[in-house]
Amino acid sequence: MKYATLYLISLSLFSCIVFFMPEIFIKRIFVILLSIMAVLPVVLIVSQIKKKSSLIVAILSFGITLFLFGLFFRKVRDSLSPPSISDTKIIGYTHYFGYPFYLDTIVFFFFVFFPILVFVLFYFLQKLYKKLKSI
Amino acid sequence: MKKEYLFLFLLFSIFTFENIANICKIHFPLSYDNQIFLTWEYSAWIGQLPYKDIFFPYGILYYYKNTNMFFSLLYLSLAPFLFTFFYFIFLKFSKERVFSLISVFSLFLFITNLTGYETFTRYGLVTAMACGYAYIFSFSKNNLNKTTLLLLGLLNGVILTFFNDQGIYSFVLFFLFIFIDAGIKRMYKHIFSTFLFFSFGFILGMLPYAFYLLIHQSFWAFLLAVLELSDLSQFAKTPFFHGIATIDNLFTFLVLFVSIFFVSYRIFLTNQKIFFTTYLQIGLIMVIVMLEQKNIIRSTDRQLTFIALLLLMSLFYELKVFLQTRGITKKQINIYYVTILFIITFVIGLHPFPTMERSTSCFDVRKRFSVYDKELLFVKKEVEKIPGFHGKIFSYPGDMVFYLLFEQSPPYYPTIYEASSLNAQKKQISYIKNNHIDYILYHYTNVSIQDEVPNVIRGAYLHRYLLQNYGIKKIIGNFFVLQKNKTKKDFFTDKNLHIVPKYKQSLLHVYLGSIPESEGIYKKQYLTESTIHILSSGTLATINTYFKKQKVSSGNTLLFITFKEKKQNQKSTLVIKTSDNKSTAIQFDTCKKEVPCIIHLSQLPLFYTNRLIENIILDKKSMLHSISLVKGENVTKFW
Repeated sequence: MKYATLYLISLSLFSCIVFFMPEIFIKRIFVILLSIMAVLPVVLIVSQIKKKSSLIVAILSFGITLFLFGLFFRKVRDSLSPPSISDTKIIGYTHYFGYPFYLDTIVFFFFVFFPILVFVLFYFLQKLYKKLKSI
Repeated sequence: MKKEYLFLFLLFSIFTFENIANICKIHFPLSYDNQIFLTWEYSAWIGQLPYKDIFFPYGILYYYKNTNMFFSLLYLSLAPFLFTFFYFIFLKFSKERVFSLISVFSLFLFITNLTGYETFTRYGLVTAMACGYAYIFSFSKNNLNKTTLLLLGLLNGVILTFFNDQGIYSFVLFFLFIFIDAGIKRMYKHIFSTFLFFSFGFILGMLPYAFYLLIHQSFWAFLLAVLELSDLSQFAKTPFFHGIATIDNLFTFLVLFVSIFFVSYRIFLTNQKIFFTTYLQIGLIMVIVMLEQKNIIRSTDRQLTFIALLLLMSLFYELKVFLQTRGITKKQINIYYVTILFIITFVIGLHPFPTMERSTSCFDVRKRFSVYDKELLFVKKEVEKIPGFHGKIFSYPGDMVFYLLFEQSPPYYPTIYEASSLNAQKKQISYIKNNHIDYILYHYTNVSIQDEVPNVIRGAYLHRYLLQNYGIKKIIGNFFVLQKNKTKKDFFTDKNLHIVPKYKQSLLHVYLGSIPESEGIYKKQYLTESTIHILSSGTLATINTYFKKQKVSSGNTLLFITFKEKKQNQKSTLVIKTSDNKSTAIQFDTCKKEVPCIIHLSQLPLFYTNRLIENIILDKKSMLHSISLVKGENVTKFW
């Protein structure tokens, strides 16, 4: 409890200091540090939950996929064909500059469903493990 | 309890009183966005109907809120209603008044400082629907009763009446909730009947609006407008990931993905019962995912952060429960909560959604339609001096405020941006013909109305019509006044063009971007059709020899250019010389191997008038595999 009080006082003071700081480059670093400080209780939760290894694996695999996506995005984008010009003859940015129309949507949904599918996989693996254990 | 909600509603009605500025604002300076909002407001004022007389994609509440008292009051009451409703939601999942009051007042501060009431009213509605669905589904043990379904459908139909896009989103949300609820409760029998009763209620809710549209002969126009909504994404789409790294996007995505992980973990890896908070988180996740589709089309990052905030509040509640089990007091948790909300609203640097106008005129509506731009007023004055001018103009590519200045009903599509499709451009031409418009106000220094796509490319069909039928009468600042020709004339013989060499250059040096490659990938199969004839094919010398022997006009003529290979970002330039000593340079992105770059000559400004081609020069001769000269009876399939 006393750590909680100490943490709250430091967090509040730090937020006020950053709030009143002028808009200089170093403020961004302080904002990042403040944000890390603010989410510390969440780290506490994660460290105490059951099956945290599954959660950590899911987060790590997501992070690695995101990193790889960032690395290869340009190559993927440039390898895809420009969108077709339909009977409506609309020429927007994507048609003119050859940007693949559905790329952003597909990538977005891939990342939205990625964690869900990972947890579904863990769910079925867990069930399979229980079955095998009972055998 | 009901008195508490009434009190809050009245309190927020007072707090949100400044929202009245949103229905009385003077749209100045005259940026593109301000011009279009002003034009729509003017259009409502003069009695034009949305969907029938003017393109308007946002629903009748937004169309009439500035000019009709009923809609103004309805609009003003939405924000306090939404705040009160969100308080109800916070109270239902937390069961704590203090937590709920902190949440709703923090939300209020967030909206007033960052999101703004207009965005909150619009996207807050679908968010509230998601919260409402979550509440109803989570607290019903079995399937929902028929009365509830009918009422929900009715409400959804009414929302679609006033806010088209939010009504569609709410409908889709309910549809998704049916399946999610069935999956959570493992009850699949009633999916179809649930959807059926909801849809019936939805149709009932839409009936008054359907009658209104029928009475005003706008019903089919409304249906066409709904179908045309897909066209919006075609011309509005810009790259998403290039601009993803804004603090607003990062905040929304961080909350979104943390929530997805949390909810997935809870549902699949724990045996915990699913309560209202989980339904709420699922609902808010779905709202963000749906509205992110708009953000993916065209950046709306600052408008979605408040939904992420609501999701974060529901996640914080989970953290609160955990911390309480670890002995942290309620007081400490509330202080932590307030600090977090303060950091999010005021410290991390989320951007306010820009609302620059500060001037309002609530009682004198005409004052809102007064235009104070000196240049535009001068152009108007000079045009009115022209002998024989009968008071009607057409503005190209899109200084819509001229329609207000000339007190003229605007065309269906205010600018060439909304009129990007071929049908829309034809409609613009019909407007010019039906109104017997003899004068076009052509903003010649505006070469690209949006997104760096040249106007001659975006609105090629309309642009051809204007240059074939009108000539330069006067040059006033950044504007041509084009006057209707008695017969079709070659625009490039206009003596005034030498006064504006840069403009002439922009017509004769055209960059086609990826259009030739796109045409080559998706339309090369049309080369085998019987109406298409290859006149000559081979090297550049072969084609040029053909031009010397035969008279080849530019009409219905295509060039198919194939390269040996393509290097990234490589461009080629083709120069076409005509027999009347004119030439045009066409730059385009080189095409992949075995994909012909297809260039339709009639789309180029120099070839709006048929000309005989004398010679072609290509800069990347060594890269050239072959070039074909193609004529067709019907080449309208090609851009």
